[in-house]
Amino acid sequence: VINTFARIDHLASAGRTPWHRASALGKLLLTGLFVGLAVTAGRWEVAAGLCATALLLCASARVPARLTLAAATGPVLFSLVFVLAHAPSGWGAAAVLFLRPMIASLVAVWLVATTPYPDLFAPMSRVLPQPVGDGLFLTYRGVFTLFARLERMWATLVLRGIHSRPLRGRLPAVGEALGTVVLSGFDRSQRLYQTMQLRGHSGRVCGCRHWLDLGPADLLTALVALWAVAVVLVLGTPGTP
Amino acid sequence: LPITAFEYCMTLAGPVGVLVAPAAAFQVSFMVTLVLALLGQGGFTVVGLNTLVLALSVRLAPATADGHEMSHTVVGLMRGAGALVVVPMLLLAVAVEALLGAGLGGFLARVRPDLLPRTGEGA
Repeated sequence: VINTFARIDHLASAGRTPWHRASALGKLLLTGLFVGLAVTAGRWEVAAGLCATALLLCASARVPARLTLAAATGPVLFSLVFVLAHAPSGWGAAAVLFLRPMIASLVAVWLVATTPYPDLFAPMSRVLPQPVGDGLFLTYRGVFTLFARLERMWATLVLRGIHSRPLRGRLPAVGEALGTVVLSGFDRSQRLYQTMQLRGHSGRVCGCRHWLDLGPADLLTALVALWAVAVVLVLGTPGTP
Repeated sequence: LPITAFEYCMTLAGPVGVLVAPAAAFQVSFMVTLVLALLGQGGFTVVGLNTLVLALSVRLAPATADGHEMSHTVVGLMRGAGALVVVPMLLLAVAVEALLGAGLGGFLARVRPDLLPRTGEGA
């Protein structure tokens, strides 16, 4: 999971596809549209069409196949529980229950793999309360440092034979090791706050305005939005194949 | 973390609740849930629900650190909900989280006791 997060972050910053040039606002709106259409999709044909489009989005954004597969299969277990609990009539209804979260997960991975996090959180911080918006920005910044530290910590534990201990003793040992990561995070946040104060922090983290830069690549986003609506209109009408 | 044959995703709601205080429970839970949803771990449409579930655990954690507060909390929950339904998987998860939290809390108590609330300041 840690490597997955790091790869997504690298893809978002280093990618060179048209999706990486499109504005964050357009991509956020397209993601919202896909999620909305997936939630309201009643027929398996519509859900399958949207899922195929989401897969194409990931492929055209050069999201690695393993990452796409992980995003597509991640919600399957939860969907299975949902399907078993609902006992839907017919395989079509069951397929819709499986495909809905798959669409949302694929589009979410496409969004974060093509949008650097400052652009992603900047429009969100306009509608969220200030402490939450700033917190999102700073949290995402620190997460990758903590992930790297967590990975090193786990390697140390394995080298020191954590697996040879009984489970009852292993969990508190892992907890103690996590304590070092917590302390590191605490110290890091304090240093960051002091640095921001020294640099004249006014109480508001101002995100960049790239998220509003509309360009030719946004036409592609609009086209995909129209395509998704067309899929719903054509395949969602009873009687159509 | 690969605790046994499975990889366990810890919430660490207990330690977070004790360290950041109840007032920040919902902010912290929302940020975690939203970042996870953006990374394909969790759903967009259940960000609110996941936030509430996680924040409730974070909010209750300081109460569990204080026996008097805890008894009030449990009584309140029992009265409000009527019954407490606990499934075995939940119990197992609670046990794992409790052991991890005990290790983490013990470490902080030895190394940086100033980060932990004093007795009576739990909630």
